[in-house]
Amino acid sequence: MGFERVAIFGLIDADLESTSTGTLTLSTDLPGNAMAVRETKTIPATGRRVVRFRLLGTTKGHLYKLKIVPTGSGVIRLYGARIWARVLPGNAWAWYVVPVPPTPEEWTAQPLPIPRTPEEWTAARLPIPETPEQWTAQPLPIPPTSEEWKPEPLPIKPTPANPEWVNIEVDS
Amino acid sequence: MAFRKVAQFKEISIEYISPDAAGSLRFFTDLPGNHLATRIGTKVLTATNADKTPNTITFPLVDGNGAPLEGTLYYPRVDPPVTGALQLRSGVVWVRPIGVYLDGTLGEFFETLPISIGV
Repeated sequence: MGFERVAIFGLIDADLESTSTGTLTLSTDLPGNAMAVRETKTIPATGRRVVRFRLLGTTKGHLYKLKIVPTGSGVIRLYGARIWARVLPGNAWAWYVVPVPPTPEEWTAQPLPIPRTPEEWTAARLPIPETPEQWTAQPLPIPPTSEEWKPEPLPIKPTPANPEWVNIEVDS
Repeated sequence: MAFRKVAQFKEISIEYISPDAAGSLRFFTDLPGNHLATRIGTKVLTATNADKTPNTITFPLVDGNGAPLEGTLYYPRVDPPVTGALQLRSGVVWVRPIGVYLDGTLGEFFETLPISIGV
């Protein structure tokens, strides 16, 4: 989205901390209607504070772009930034917030993934066989009486069909 | 724009039961150095009551300069006493992500898109 009115830039404030120096560059699209670096500033090594960079006073553009680079092995923590600008042909200066991902002031509690110990007690059944509520018929070991009759022969010696000769001893 | 999400760590609280003897806690992060290393040494989880009621103990997570620990990764480690058991009930770490964290060793930088002041 382009805008017809041009702004002139005067100051940049950066809320940061830096373990070593760094570089801040401001690019604009004027003159030439192409984004180009117009200002280069050195970020000092510092604890967290608002560092103010005074610009030339002639830097202008429809659009601006801010870039921050740490030097060497340094670390920069950037908490916020704003730019002091005046819209031409007006004469009112104002701060405009530069969109920087926010760092919350509050700490957030992050639960550790520890399995929860329940507050309630849980019944754990012991492996004892259950006693049933109902009575169960248990047959006694009595041999069953057969339903059928079975012939039982009497102990009578049968009469043979042919006579059996018997030797009778005779006195001699 | 190229940067990672780095969090700062303020403190850690642990609820535990260790009636036999003291346990220990260590806290590892990957910054500085981009490798996970213990950052607060070994902290003592003091022995708790013999009736096995839990203790809650809190340790600050700061470096030698008193600054909050930082990292893209972290993990706590709890060791039981050599002579007994330790029950770990719960734990919490207080964190906040840093909006823009630029590490020069990784060539990171912050850059906005072209912005109009909106007029």
